[in-house]
Amino acid sequence: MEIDIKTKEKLSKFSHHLETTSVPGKILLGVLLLVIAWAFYALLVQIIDGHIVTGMRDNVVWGIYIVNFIFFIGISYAGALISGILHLMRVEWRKPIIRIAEIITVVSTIIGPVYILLCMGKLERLPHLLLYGRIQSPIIWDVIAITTYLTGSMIFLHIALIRDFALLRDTPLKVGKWRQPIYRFFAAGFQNTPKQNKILDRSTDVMAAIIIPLAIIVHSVLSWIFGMTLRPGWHSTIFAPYFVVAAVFSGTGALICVIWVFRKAYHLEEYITQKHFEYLGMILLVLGALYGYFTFSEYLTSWYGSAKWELEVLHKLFSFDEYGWAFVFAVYVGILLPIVVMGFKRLRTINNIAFASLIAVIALWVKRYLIIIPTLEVPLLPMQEIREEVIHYTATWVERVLTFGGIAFFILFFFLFSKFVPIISIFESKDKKYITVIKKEVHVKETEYEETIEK
Amino acid sequence: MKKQVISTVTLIGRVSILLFTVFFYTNNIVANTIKKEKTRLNLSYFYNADNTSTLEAKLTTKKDERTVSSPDMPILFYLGVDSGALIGKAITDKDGKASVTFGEELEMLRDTAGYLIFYVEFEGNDEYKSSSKDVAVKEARLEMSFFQRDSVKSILLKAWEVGTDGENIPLDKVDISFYVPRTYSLLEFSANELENGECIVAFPTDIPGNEKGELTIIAKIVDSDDYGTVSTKGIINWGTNLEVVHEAHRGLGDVDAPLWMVYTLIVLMSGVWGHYVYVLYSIYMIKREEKNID
Repeated sequence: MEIDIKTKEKLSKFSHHLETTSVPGKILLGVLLLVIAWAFYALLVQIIDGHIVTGMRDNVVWGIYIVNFIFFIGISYAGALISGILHLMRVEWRKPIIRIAEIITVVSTIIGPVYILLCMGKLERLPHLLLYGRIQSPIIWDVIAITTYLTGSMIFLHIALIRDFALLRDTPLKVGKWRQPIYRFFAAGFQNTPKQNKILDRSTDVMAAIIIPLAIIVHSVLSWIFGMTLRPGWHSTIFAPYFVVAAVFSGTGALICVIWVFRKAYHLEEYITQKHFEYLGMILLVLGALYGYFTFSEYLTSWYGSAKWELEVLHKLFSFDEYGWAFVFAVYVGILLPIVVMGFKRLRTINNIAFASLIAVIALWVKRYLIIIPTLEVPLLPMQEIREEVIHYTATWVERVLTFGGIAFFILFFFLFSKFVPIISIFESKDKKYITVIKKEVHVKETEYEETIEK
Repeated sequence: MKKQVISTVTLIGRVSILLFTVFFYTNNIVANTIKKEKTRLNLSYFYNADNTSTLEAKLTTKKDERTVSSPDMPILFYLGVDSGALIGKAITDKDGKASVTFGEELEMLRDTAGYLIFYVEFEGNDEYKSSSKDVAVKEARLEMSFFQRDSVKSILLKAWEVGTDGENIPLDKVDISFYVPRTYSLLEFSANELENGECIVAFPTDIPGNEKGELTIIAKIVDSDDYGTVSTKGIINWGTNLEVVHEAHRGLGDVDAPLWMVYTLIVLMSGVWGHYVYVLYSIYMIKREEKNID
């Protein structure tokens, strides 16, 4: 494949990230591997001793594993929104961040369902889902939806990477030879011909179009696991749009956090600019307001209905002796902070936006915790139980370590991806100087034409 | 003087001790007597349609002037008076009932009048007093047959008492009831009186049977003083046919999902995976284009 000089120059800016790992990078890798090793040890303890090592009991049957599952699937929406919608709208500013968004989608959709496996008591019954699964079950819908979503995300990521894989295939890099067959395979014979470009563009359009409704369906189906259950605090018709909006909100927040990290680590200030943070921040503001509206509607309806067990759940959430502080953080701080930061121009700095996004992401994790645990702590029938560990749920060290393990895996995947492919699309993003030169050339040419006509 | 005072005090002390002792023991005796509750046993005899016999005892006691059942108490069942042959032992259930069932292998002991004597006993415990009960019944048998005359369907029931020498003595002026078993209980459709050991009742042709139209008829002498409860049953396909429609149910709680759900899933999955197939085919086309260039 013929590669122009500009493209080669741009690749050279990223090639050292592919070829070498800095000392901080190695330290990060070491820390991540340590955390993951610790998580594997916790997993071993859980497998040997059983789920008694977790905080889950007969009353609160779901704990932070399910919270993590929903959280990771939630942040996967970044790829669907940013890549899909902005691609179809042909928004130029998406190009430097699109790859990061797509990687977030794939990685989090891989990690999220692992927590379901951790939550399952008997893994040997996993094939029963396929052998005896009934399609009336929302859990089966979830399995089908997430499998389809993961497949689609991977295909979408692949077709977005084809051009860069072709570039890496044809560019001599100081990397291990084992990479070449992989680059060649995933490049799928791309030679940058007009026909291939046309096919690729059309495929990208098709995938962008299908990934959006698919993501909406996935998060709706995820919400119906709760919404279809006749349990106060869960049985609500608003859950589907509520979860979708929360997913987009958390996905956008996660994307801002990740691009901030890569911008700092890889010095991508030239490509990821203030504008990217502002535009994503604006999306965060709108989604935060929408999410706040849904939250208000949800709790107002429950409170006004005054059903006995709904009020029990609300009492748990609003009482500062129980989950009140977490509720304040998740609902007020998590929603208002991004709105305030984006609402005032003076506050709209890259670091502030990134910080607000981080708080929003953490707040949404807490919100998912508040959706699951307090609701389960309110028994459907009066419970004659006095053991504290049954009445109230507390995550044990095993669950916490496995949570950190999932986060470490997430960071590790990203780290390894960035060592394998450029974190910003080489082909799609244009050099700002190059754009300026092109515009000047066009302007000069137009001027020459006008002068010629006058003459 | 002093001696008199001392002797008086001594006398008073001894009398006090005596009175106290008498009072204390009397109180204990009274307390012990009051502590144990009285119990009462009732005994019923059943001769079942499958030619087995059942003795059912019910143990009750009084609490707060109300009669309540006594569960978890051992009851002993005997054949004969005054602890004859032990037939069985059973523990009362939550309704205070205990029963034993025995077949014709048990050699029945009759008295001179031809009665079978059964005896039950509750031996008592720290809480309850013992009690016992006996019942004397004569052996009675029922035989059911069906016949149709001039398109009128009827049930013929014959009943007799088993005499001391084994002869059959027809039962007379004994009430008998006819039932069909329904889902939760027996439905009585006729009540009659035996005359010279026989009784004819009209067959209930408007009651549905099973899928084959078979109807079970049960005839019972209920709680007779002489015979206890005696029953027999017969099965005949004279009932109206019950149409059982075997159709596959599709619903949320069934094995098969509702059809609309199946179709929706197929359409959605086909739509989405169809796109994937198209894109994967496009990637294949890109690969093929490379070969064309080569």
